[in-house]
Amino acid sequence: MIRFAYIIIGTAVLLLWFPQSGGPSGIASVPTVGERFPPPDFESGYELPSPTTPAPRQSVYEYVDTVVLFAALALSSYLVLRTRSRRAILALCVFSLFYFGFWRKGCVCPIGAIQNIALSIFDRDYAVPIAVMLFFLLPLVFTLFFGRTFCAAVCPLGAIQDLVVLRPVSVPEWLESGLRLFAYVYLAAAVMFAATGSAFIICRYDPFISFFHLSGSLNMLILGACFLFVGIFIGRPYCRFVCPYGVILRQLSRISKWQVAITPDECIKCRLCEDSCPFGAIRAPTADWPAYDYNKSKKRLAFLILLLPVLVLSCGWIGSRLRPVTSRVHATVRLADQIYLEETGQAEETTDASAAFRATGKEIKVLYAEVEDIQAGFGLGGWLSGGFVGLVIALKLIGLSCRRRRTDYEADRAGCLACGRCFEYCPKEHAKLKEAKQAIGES
Amino acid sequence: MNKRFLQMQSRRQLLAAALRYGTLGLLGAAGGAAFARRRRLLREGKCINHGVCRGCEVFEACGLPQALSAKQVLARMGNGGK
Repeated sequence: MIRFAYIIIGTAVLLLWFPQSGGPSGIASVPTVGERFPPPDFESGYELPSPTTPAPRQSVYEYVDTVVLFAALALSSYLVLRTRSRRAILALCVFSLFYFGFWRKGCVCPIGAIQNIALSIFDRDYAVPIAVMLFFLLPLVFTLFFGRTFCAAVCPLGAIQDLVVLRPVSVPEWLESGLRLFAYVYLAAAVMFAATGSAFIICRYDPFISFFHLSGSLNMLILGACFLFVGIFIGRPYCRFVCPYGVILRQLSRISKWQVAITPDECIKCRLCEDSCPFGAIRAPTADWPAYDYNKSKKRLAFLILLLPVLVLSCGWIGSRLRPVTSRVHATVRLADQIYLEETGQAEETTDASAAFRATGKEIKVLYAEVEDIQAGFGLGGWLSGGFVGLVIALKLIGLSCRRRRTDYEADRAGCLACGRCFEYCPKEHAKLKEAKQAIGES
Repeated sequence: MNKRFLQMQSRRQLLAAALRYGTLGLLGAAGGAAFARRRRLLREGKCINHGVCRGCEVFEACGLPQALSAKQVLARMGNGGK
């Protein structure tokens, strides 16, 4: 298995080395599409700013990336469910970090692809690139069958955080549940801003993309460093409390066909695995419920079910009322605001955008009409995204009143990131490995 | 482990399987719809790349102004930049 890990790491190093050295053949030596369209020479001495996003790749390499993603997902699923080897999962993690993170510069990623999908649903004239569509769909399909094996060893954002989990502390359940709500709010906001054509906030505020690009704004570098520092003590904070794609994977993982099992055999309740998970995803067996507690919970459940529509509507209403604030993310709305300030004499200086607008000779009334349409879109988006958040809060509260019966120590289907740390804590696993080694020795 | 608990597990598994394959169908349909839209936009002669010719699959056959301009640049580069 150690040899296998060396092969994976070696491949990653070679892939990283070839593009820089102009390798002898293969992927790296082929000219990139960026070279086909050199920027024009400006006579005025204007210099093009250096891009903050990676240059688009030729289509064939996008398909290569898709094939690598598929292979990595298949391997990750195999390692998690069949081989049950933490070392091999870690090696694949390192490969994914180098390939999908540093070499491909974290773009396209399934997390950001949420926004392309949202835009394609609401904009009839937008076509999602096939590679982006596949990057979005493949991890979802794998999760439906094998659990969160994408998070385990394929996601570069997860991989970079997984490598810094050094002194994990457990987060209380109430705090974890509360913090997790942020990911749902973030997902709702990201979909709303993408659907209205305003911004792709997941990409803009990706804390690790600056590391992958080896450049970026100071603020984002500091944010990324903070996430990594916190990640030393609280395992994978971005995955657990922020990742909007993780929100989708959590739900799909609940209905996955196969799932990580802590023990390869029957659980002997030795409790050795109890504190092995740095992500708090191991659930203890449940005790029988006392009768009085059960009745109390039934009443609370009935109340919460009645509360559900109230929460959905009130959060939706709050979302729609935030329209004046949220719509300012859209460039046209900001332009209209600036034009209004200039027209009413509240702004003394013009901006580049307002000067460019005036140079077009377009009527201000037309601009204001456009803004009204955009704000109407934000009104609807506010209702939908606010309603979604309200629904999540209500379902979370209902979930607290429903108890699942567990007879063994189990990995939480939704929260388990399939990292495989718990495997080595199980004495049954050790016994099985010992038997396998003996069998190999005898043969 | 009583019989009722086992029945509940079985019902839960059935529901999970129904949801799983339903979701799979939904994802397949969504992918198919996205692919069909792409083809429709190409058929209608619309730019699916938002005017960015780099890496565009239909660049060679595209007759939109931005593509024609990019082709001119390429032709000029082919003639030593003249």
